[in-house]
Amino acid sequence: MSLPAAIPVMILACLATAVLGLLLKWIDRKVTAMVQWRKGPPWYQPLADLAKLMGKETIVPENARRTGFLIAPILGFAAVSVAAAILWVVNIDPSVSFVGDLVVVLYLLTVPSLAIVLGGASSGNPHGAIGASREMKLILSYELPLVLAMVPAMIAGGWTLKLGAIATAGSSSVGMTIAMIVGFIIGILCTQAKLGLVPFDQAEAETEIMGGVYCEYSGPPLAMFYLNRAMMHAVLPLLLVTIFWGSLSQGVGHAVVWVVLYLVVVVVVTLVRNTNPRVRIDHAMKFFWFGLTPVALVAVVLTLIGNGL
Amino acid sequence: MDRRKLVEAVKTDLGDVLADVVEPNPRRVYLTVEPDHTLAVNRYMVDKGGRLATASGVDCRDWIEVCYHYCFDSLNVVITVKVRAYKPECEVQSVAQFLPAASFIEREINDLLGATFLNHPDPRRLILADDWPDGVYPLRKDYDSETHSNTGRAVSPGLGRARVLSALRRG
Amino acid sequence: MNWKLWGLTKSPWVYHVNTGACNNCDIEIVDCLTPRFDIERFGMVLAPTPRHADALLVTGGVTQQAKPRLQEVYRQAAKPCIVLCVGACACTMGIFAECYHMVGPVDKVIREVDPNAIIVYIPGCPPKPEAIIAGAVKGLQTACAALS
Repeated sequence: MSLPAAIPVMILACLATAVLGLLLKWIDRKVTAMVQWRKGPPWYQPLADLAKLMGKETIVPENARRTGFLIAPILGFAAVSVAAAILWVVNIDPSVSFVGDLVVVLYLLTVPSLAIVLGGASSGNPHGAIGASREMKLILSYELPLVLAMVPAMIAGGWTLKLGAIATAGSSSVGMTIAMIVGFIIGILCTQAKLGLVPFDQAEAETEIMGGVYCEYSGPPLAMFYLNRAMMHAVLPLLLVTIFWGSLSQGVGHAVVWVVLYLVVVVVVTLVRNTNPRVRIDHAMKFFWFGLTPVALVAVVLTLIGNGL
Repeated sequence: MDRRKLVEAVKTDLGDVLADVVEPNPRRVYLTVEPDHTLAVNRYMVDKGGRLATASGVDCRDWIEVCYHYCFDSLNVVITVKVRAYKPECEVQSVAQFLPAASFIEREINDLLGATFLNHPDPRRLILADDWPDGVYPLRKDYDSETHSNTGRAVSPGLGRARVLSALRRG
Repeated sequence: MNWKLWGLTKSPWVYHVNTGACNNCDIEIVDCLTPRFDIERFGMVLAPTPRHADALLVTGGVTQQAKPRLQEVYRQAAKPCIVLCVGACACTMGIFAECYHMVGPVDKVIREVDPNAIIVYIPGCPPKPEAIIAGAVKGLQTACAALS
């Protein structure tokens, strides 16, 4: 796609993802309230949170590294916006897809977590340092099962790394279907960690380390981190459903199931958040390395067997 | 062993060391000891199976009375060991030397009443503010909130009454 | 009312500070979060750090040890931030008015740092959660009127 056409597409995708992300944040809080037998906040609550945060003053602590502190949220926002744009474009028109764009999207989606690490580490606060180190450990733990879970889909698309090809391919054997379902579930659990939701929110442990990485943030930088989290909440289920089910443009019935699966991911993430306590960081690492990674490897082996090697 | 046997055993074993024994009701025994014997009596109480529930301090006019309350839970009796720390030095041996449970409460009594516990393993200030002046003990009867006033403390009309009451007690 | 103040009324994040309270008021504040009273309907969330706070819920009359710490927490809070004095002790030192360790009620301590601080009084020992919610709502309305 040419550059003059790409810019409005990017802006539109960024806005759409932001709006969708804030809506999903509200759905998360409302479902949490319903699970806890309360009424939750009204539908405009995330928007009110953003508006309020934009109106507060920005405080940069004396001990903080000013550049890293202030640039971290912007880095995250940029990365999420581009990843969102690629995914939306592939969903609407799978032929506009270049070789290796899955790799690009996966790389871009690690940047918000790295931005969190940068922000926490440049806070000049021990809580921020602890949060940053925990987030680093988490990144090292959940990225591997996430990528391994997507390998069956890559094989199904014909050993390809093009998102468009992966999205339009179906699965061709029972083994592959089982592997895709297992991969989907692993993807949901890794989404839980990527979004920083209980049980894997050790980086921003609210009651434990005073907000961890977000400890010293206030005002518009915090608003941008809030928006980053909302947009990640919109983009990660989008990635999962695009890879494991398909794109939005393959027929009405296909699109309906797409929407249902998207909502399933969102609701499952919220329900897991409401029914689990926060685990210790070493338990989380063990869960990902010795729990999810072997299961993902088994799924890959199943796919290879089902594919006839 | 039941309650009565325990109390009899205490009175027999410690008889010559005890200055006074008061039993207001079957479940409550008060033993008064001179400060020289405090370590021996407290060690005896712990050896007999008593659990140090807490300690308390009272500002009697010429001494500070430190009371160690030992609960014998299965026998339904609480035996209190009262030790007198005579003024003006108000010194008494610290029970925390061999009983860690007494460590914090002795620090608190030191802070608020000024009883000095000799050989305390950790004699730091516990509950008074960091910038509270040394030597001023708020819970003593002769503590005068007027002479030691907190910086910027709001003065309320009730203070006059408190001053009159403490003057009555002194005179 | 401009959009910043609209955001402040609709999404006040509260940070709870205990400056020497007996914990009764703290328990009532936590009760407000339970399903019976549910202050999350109003967007009120417990903030983990003073920097995220729009309202400081201060309980307890201020003790000598807590005074510099309360002032530091108020300075760290990103303005605009209102102070809600919850309980009789926070409003007037309560029954501890003549005690040796009390320095002053919360408004006196905060005004040393910021004479223009917006302070809301919620008396009671402890105030009922309904009173805390009513006080918070009134306080936010007054704050917006004062800020605009």
